[in-house]
Amino acid sequence: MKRRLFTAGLATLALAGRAAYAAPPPADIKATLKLFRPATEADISEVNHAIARFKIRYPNVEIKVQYTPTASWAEYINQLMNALSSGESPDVLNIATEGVATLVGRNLLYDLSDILATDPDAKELLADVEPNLLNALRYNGKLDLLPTEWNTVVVFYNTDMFQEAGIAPPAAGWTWDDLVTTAEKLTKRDAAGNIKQFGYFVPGGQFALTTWFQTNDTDRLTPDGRKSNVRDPKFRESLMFLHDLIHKYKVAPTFTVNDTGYAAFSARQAAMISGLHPLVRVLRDAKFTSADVQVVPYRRKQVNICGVMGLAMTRATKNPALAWEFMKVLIDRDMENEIAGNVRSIPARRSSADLPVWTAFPQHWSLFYGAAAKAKPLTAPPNFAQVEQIMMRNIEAYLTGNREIDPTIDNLDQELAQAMSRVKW
Amino acid sequence: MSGSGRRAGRGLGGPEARAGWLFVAPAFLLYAAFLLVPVLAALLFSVTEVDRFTWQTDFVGLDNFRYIWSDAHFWRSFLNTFEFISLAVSGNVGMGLLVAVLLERRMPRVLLYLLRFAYFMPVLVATALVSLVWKFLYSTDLGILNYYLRAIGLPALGWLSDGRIAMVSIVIMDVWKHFGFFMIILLAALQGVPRSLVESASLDGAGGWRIFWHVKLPLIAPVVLFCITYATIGGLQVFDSVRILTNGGPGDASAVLVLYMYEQTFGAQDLGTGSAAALTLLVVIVLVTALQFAFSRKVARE
Amino acid sequence: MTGPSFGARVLSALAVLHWRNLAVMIPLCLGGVIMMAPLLWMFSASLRPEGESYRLPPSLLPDSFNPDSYRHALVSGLPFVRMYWNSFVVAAASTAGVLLTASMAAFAFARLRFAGASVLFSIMFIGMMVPPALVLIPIYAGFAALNLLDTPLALILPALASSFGVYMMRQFMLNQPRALEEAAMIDGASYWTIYWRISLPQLGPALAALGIITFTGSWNNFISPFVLIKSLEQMTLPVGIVALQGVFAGAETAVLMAATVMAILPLFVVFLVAQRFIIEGLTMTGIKG
Repeated sequence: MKRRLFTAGLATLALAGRAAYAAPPPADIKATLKLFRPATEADISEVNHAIARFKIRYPNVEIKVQYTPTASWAEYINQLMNALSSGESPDVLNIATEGVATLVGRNLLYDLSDILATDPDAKELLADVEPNLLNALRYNGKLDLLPTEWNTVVVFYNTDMFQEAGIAPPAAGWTWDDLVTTAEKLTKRDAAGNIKQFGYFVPGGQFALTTWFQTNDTDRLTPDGRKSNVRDPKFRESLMFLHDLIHKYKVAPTFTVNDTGYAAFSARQAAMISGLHPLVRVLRDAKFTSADVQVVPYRRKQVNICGVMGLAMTRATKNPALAWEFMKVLIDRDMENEIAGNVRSIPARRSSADLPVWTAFPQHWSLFYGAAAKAKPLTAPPNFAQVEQIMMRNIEAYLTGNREIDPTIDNLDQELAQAMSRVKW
Repeated sequence: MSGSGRRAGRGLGGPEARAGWLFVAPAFLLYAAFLLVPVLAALLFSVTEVDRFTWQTDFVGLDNFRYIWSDAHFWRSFLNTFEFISLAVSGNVGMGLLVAVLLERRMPRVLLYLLRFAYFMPVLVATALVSLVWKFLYSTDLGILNYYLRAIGLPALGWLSDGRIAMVSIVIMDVWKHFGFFMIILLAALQGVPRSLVESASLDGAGGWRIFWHVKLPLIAPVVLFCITYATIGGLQVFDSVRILTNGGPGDASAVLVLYMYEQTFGAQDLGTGSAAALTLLVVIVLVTALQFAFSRKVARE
Repeated sequence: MTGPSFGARVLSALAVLHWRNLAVMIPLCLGGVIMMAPLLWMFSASLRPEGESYRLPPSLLPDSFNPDSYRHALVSGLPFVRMYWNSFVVAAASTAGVLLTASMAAFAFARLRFAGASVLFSIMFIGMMVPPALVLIPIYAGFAALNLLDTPLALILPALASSFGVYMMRQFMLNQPRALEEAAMIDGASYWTIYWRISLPQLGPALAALGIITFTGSWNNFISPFVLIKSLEQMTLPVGIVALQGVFAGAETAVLMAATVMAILPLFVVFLVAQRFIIEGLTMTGIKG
């Protein structure tokens, strides 16, 4: 008898604990929630629709959105830190892989582990998401973010140019050397010897550049993300290969930082580029139909990169239950379908990546979500912004021919080591 | 503040003095609140280490200064800033003077207005918005300038990709953007030279160039010096154009001090070192301006 | 107005054709076109479909005319019209505020005598040399503490701390004759009346010049609203246009250019209309150096 009472008591207690998370607030609650989000057209329309859906259940809740326009994640993280340290801390926020370490390392995010274990909606979402993607949002083993959308890098190529040159499009499993030979065949010069069409465009963003390190089984930082790894001979090899593409084989134009190459590709000045999914949208809007995609070429390791955008609650929130309800609306099926419809990033849900609007273009659309299972996230330490600055500055100096490889590696190593030494783990 | 006794009240304490203080008050109070106090705050920050998130501050003495003064990147930025102002000031004031001299002649009013507008237009445009166009102009392989250079058989230049000329390219855009401002000021100064002096000089047989050098230039010298001072202060604070065209690259060929400051404060999230760099810059600006003032006073006396 | 007669004006126009003049006029006009070239390219890029803008050889006239980008910029998810209004409110308020406070301070420095005048002026003068980036973070912290972030005031108030305005107005006033004001003082008018009725009207051109400098500076300012404003409702144009670029680049060039053209136009119009006053004001202040 006593035993049964005891277990009943335990069960009640357990239920009560769970109930604290599982019980949504009453529908007539009056409160204000703040959301921090990048400011792009797609974001704004997605959020507006989400707010409309949310208002149906909670008409008295006011949602204030803090939009941050930015061209780089480093700046976004910086603005977010500003907001978090002021009195205007948001309740819910968007952040990508690049900023996870910064936020989780400082204990700024609400601990979602109980909610994720019990809330049926959360479980349903996680079941529809490729598990490997979650690794891009984990830090020190904890998962405090829910994925909304993500991106990977593939090689976009101009099918017309391939046909014209009479060569077969790149096949899965192609190597770096294959890229060189293909690019050479696709580089065209005019009568005066000036290049009118480049075979390949070396990407100017860190995300796409990282694929050239990953496919050589190396990276700028050690796998734990704590120390400089640039003295690795494989890293050096990657840099020299990119340099050769521009200066030795002359199949790629001069390196320009932050130039994604989308403009050049759209203007039919480059036959192949390493790009992210947003380029699909650009091409579709420009009615550029002669393009297709293939996985990136590899040298030592066939791997794709991934960067995942996640949604999180802050510890500073005063309405965790309400914020959680809002979060759920921001990751529900409608939202994911809308993300797919915007054709900008890849939706986190596998089911949304099957929609007709998604599969319409390009022909090998399945490569995008297909990369999720084996993709490796971009290593992002807490001082990501500073690391990116150091990397891009030095790589630019080398790839533009202003500095030799050895001084570049030396300088990179020294600056990175100094930066990493100032991080408080 | 009305009535008799005004004359007697000049100087300290009287109604005139009170009026003086009252009239100055709004401007000064705003200035104090939004310039003086932040500068003092920056001074404080420069000797501390601040955690941007918790705002916990620790006093670290001159550590921040030691850090930046031993940073090669800082000194490169420092030197680059001086290279920039020597080029930009000569370019801005030089071009301004040149075009002003050329514009100072008889022509239909409408044409004058149109030309003045054409040269002044870039001043009105936001740097951030116009730089996209300039990046396209300067693009080494896919840009307009090199396209035309190659078309006439000249070798293409690495405008923004060659470390040796990146700074020059930025100066060119800076001059394009700003010289119209100085042109207007100098044109008016030239037009203010009394005709009688010019006429008597030409009657004496002096040609255009000599008239300019010996008559007009000395008379507009104070204005030219003002332009130089103003351009120097602006040049020392250059940020937008460098940030957007090269972000200090390639390498640190075009890095300037304000960029370094920005990178420390907003990139490395280090308020202490950013403020230290800002203070160093401020001291340099004050010194340079003081030197220029002393120089211009000396010239004025001659 | 008794100006040159029509005949004299025709002669003046013909004088342009004199060969020595032509040697100067042609480069001048060419130079003018070159100065405008980047802006003309921007305008034509706003009318072209994507991909055509960056094609080489560049052509000023678009092959296909596509004004859709303007409509897109106006009705995109970003409240472009609202941002236009915000920019205008902030710029107008800043300009009015600076003109008022700077002219008042200049009146005190140039016309009145009081203890500490030169000290005060020197302190204010040094402000011209302070890089704006230096003051931004402390200002941000201060506004955050006062809960004034994300309001137009956050942008307007710092703009009112204008050393350059005070300097410029003072220079101008020092160059003006004092006779009228002295007479009014003897007559016993209050200082405010003297300032408002006599000094201020005389400052016309200087006010116009400072006005457009302040208005332009505020309209084009990117960094301050970027740091101090977070919500879309309060955002100003430069920040809004950057937002159109999107996080991972790949923006539609035409829409960007259309938005940029619309953002630039008001300043051009103002300048065209008020050119004479502005130039008069700018020039008088440089003289004393």
